[in-house]
Amino acid sequence: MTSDKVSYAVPYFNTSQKEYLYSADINVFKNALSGILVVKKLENGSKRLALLSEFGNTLLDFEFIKDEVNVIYIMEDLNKRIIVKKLKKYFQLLVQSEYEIRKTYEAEGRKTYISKLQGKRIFLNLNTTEQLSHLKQASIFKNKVGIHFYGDKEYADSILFESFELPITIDLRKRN
Amino acid sequence: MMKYFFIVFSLFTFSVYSQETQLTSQELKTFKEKVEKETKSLRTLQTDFEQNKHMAFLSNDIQSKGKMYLKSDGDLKWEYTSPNKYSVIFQNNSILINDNGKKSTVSGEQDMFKKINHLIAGSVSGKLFDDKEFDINYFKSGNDILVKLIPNSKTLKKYIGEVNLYFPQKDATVSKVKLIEPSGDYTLITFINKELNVEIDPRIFNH
Repeated sequence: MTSDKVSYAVPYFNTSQKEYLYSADINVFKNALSGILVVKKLENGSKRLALLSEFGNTLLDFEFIKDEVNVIYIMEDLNKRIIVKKLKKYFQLLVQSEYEIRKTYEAEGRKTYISKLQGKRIFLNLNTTEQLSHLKQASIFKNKVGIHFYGDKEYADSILFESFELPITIDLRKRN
Repeated sequence: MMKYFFIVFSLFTFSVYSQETQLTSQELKTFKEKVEKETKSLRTLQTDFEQNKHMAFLSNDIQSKGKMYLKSDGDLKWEYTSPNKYSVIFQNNSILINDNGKKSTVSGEQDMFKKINHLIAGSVSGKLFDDKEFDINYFKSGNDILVKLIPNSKTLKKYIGEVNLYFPQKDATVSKVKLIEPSGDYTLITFINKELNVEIDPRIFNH
């Protein structure tokens, strides 16, 4: 166990002014929804994330400033307190830029950084080329959320988000 | 006071900038008659389309392309071909989705999509002008006739601030539809290679 680094910068969604576009397949309680997910890191370091239907209409638009998540817009059908709370947490995990490293483990040439977000432990699993391939959020008792990143180093080709507390998955594929 | 001054000023500059003039009652009559005549004889419409979603925080619009098929009985198909294959058929009271080979059916729900598609189908066919759900104003804008629809129903207002329909002056069917959200972000759909009253292969509407 070592702790030579203080913080870890997530490579994804982290280039200023770049517009990251994904096709999104979302499964929520067995309901399938298809749309477009766009993320942008603005000049001031804040981030915006919007989810659109294929027809282009905005379903939600969130703003991330440091550890704060603000709702710029959410479609009324989704605007339920409990849903908004979960969506804020889940999308924050997806686009969080930086984690304070509390512990580092290394096994078979792969590093795992341990950090904390939303009051729960975050496991950042790096592959052998030191690229973040998997993020996991867990409480003391069980896993909460898992995110797999595949492909390109900065602009992941695909991302799979899975909640272990609710039947929700978000499958993202880079939109060319 | 400054606030009101600013609002008045921006309204003024906007109308100068876009050079929109309201149609005279005679021009309006001629336009409506032309559209009505065309609509009456409209059996089918098929067209390519380009969709551009504009959001204030993005420098580039989000683009999609595809084909649209409309029958006068109300059947409507949006077939996105680029960048992804995705199609939606609106038929009777159902929405049939084919997401790159993955098929699903939605019935009854998804009010928003139905409303928006009723709106687009109505725009394309011109039937929308009699819709009581909108306040409608008609303008000349460059070489187009611009029809601005402002929803007055509560349900629709949640999703759409304003709909702009552009009719080239020589044409009686719409060439561009702009769906403006309450935030000001919008989706612009441009129809290209429009074909009216050509036979549509019935298999197009198979799920």
